[in-house]
Amino acid sequence: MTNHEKYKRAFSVLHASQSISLEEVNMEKHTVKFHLRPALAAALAAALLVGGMGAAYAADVGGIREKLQIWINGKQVEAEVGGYTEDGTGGYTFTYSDGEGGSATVGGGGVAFDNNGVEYPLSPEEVAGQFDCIVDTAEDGRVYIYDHDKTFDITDLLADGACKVSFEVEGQQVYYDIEDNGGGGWAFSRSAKPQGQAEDYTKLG
Amino acid sequence: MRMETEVLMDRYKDNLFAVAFNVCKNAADADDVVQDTFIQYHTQTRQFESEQHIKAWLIRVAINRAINVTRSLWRRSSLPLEEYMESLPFETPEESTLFAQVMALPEKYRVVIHLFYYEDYSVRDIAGILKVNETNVKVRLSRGRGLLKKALKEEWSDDEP
Repeated sequence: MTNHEKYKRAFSVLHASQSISLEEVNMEKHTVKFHLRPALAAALAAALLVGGMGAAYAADVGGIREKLQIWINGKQVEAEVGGYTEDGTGGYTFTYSDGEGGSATVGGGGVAFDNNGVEYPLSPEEVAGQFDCIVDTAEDGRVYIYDHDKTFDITDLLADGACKVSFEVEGQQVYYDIEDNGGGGWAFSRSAKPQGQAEDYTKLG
Repeated sequence: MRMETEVLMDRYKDNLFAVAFNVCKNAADADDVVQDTFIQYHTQTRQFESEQHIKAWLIRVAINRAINVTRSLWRRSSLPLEEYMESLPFETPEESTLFAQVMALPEKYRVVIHLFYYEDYSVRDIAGILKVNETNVKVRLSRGRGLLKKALKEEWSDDEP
């Protein structure tokens, strides 16, 4: 038996879950999965919520049912906060009206460290704050920056999957460095100062 | 060209799961990666040259997503690899040993080994999927094979080109 044959036999035991179906895919289209922005992620120590740790955090936040104002795609909406108590990931869901009679849900979570180096789960407010500024690809394939009440289509500014743009929001000039993260999303940093020359940034708005 | 997402799922979801598992070492995360990869295909209007082009694209997206998952701040709770392996229906102890030894390889060797031996991709194809040069792929392949040979001895032959 060749190495190819041996390898294939050994790995032929792996099968995707039967729960993955087109129905699930269609449902997921309406659920935005949220991940921490790279800037925040870099500021937080890299800690994984796995195993018992995740379950412990879930117990801490379980049963939360409060409402928060969050920014979604340039609009402020009222969202009901839920805890990820079922799968123990220690995050939160934010469910809001989609304006068409239905509801949509976004979610996220993470941990941070206090001044004493003690790990704590991010609060719903801290997680919700990550929605204030997002770079995302819309269903029509165009790429948008959503920053509080500002929305900019940057599709035509992207060269080799990256661009630098600047605009004013809430009375302050902000600078975005954006690039394709290679995983279907966008990695970006947002700063009050340009990284390099301000002339390198395309002014919007 | 485009193909129906449902057709692609029937044909390739196990391939994507296998490559994602190869990166994540975690079935729950690998399932998420498979689903997210098909969602990405389903929500895009991008055109492809052929079915093989679509498959290569799906595999590349799955690998990138799986790498993102392993580096993210939080992950699902999951079974340790050893416990998960006990649930897999290996037909012989040799298969189980090969599986475990591949999983013990460094990630960058694992992925190249998997694409070469499981997906039958050439060095050139793998370089295109991973966006690295062919020399880099050859080095990873060679080092990965060397480690497998060292661990598996006569169970892993030297007959590959």
